[in-house]
Amino acid sequence: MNRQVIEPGRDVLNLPVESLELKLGPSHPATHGTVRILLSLDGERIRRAEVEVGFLHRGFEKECESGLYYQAFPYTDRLNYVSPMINNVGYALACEKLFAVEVPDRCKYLRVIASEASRIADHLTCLGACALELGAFTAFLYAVEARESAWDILDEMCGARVTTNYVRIGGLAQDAGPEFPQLVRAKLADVARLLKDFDDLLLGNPIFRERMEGTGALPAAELIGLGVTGPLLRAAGVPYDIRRVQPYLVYDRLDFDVPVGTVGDNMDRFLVREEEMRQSARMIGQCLEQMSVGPVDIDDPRIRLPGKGKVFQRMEELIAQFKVVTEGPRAPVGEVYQAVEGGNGEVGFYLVSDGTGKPWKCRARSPSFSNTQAMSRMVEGALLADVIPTFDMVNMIGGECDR
Amino acid sequence: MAARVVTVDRKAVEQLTGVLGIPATLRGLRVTSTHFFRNLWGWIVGRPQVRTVMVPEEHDPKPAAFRGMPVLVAMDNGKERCVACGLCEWACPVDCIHIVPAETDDEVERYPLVFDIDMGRCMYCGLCEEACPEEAIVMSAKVEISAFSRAGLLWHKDQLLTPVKTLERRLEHIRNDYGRR
Repeated sequence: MNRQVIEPGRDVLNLPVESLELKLGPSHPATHGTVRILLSLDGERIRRAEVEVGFLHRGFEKECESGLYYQAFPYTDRLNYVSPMINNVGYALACEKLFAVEVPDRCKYLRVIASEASRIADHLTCLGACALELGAFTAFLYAVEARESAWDILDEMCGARVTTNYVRIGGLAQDAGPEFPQLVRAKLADVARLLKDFDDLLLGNPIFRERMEGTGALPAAELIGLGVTGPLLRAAGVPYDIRRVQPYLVYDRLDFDVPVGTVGDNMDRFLVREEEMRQSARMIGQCLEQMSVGPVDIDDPRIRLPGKGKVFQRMEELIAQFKVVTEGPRAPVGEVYQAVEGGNGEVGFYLVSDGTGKPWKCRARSPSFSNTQAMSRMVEGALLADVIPTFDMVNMIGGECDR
Repeated sequence: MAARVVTVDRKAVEQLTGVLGIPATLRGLRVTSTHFFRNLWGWIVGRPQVRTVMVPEEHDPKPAAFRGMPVLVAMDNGKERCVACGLCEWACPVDCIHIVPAETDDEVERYPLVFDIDMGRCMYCGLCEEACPEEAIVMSAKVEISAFSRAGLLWHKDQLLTPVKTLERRLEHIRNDYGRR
């Protein structure tokens, strides 16, 4: 036995101590997604935190490169599976930049509606899960019920809530029906009502505030250095929102606020996300007003499938149908990068084309990956309990982070 | 029309808490009890206010755009509409469709001798339906598949053939989009 003997008179408060190694995850309920956080603890205090990602790696980029351009859409749904429409739109915009085509106005408006409804669903999931993990189960249920309403909008548009596969190169899978605006307004009213209840139940709660206020803050300069984007960066006071700084689709025609925080702690991140949901609802309302009836697809049989009615009747369109499906649209040689504002930050797609129907290289810039790397800096020196709200606000989505 | 930058109001949250958090607690109680009594009343009068659906006894109504598992359309004579052109096989990102074409002396001379869909791989994306030039493979409303082995998830032509009258809703939905270009 090699037991250390404490001599009488020695200072017992300064004994050599080893730090406790704690593995949080990969299947811990609070690490929704699969991620492992290796913590070395000194009592309750975190000395070092290491975030291990990659448990959900599926080879998204390679998968995209092995298929035609249009075949990657179902895979983009599975990047950020909480707001799949935004990934759909981002990938489609990157392809359209490569093919140098522009979609009709109605298509742009429908894409914005889809993206913003997705953003509402994304933020509701994030905030609801945060409430749940801090002990507010009821608030979580209200958020999930509101998310159902947001998903109903997507359901009506594309027939699925999560596996949307809605956007196409040069158009959309299908147009919205005549009663679509009514449905959207009704569903948004549901979301607003439940969001009010969610706020009333949670925001003022002293326990919730204790857990959120003053935890997980990092200065803006450091966040920028780590490549953090989205609500995390905006909560630190930097108004960087792709929809504002590089407007795509019709965001330059919409009137909306970009909320920023002052302190950059978890409470600010929470409030920024809440305000963004209200702004998203506002944007959808404006889109419904500005949208007019018209085509949703470009009229270019080399890129977008011709209408089925013509395929049944005419030879030319039938040939186009066969060519687009089997060879895919041929992209000109070149490379493009297109970013959109996702639920967690800048979702970017970088495509390199060698002139064939398949991308030579497809790279996805996922906000979760960059945001998660800031996680360890945010919790170092904090208490163990602070990991949970911080991780909730980082909102790492495994599908997107690990790709 | 432009994006404005606004700062979130942290002071308002402090005010919501109030003295010792008592107003916040009371407000929370009001919210939960409102929900409770509304749900209770809905349950009493038989019009539940909650979104919970007791699957599999009951199901949510599905929108017309809903994509379930892909099936083959069977015409009134029981034969498939498919002419085994193989476009769905090309379009499928996960290669779950396998077709062996054959020919007869009938009016429609080509037909699939083998038409298999591996439902264990299929992700219901609907690209096959979009590619089909014959309206022969469509997404049905069916989602429940189960089998005791992986081999049981490989659906053959006789399992996939579905009478056209049960697919009317989906066919009508996709026909709405036919003439749009």
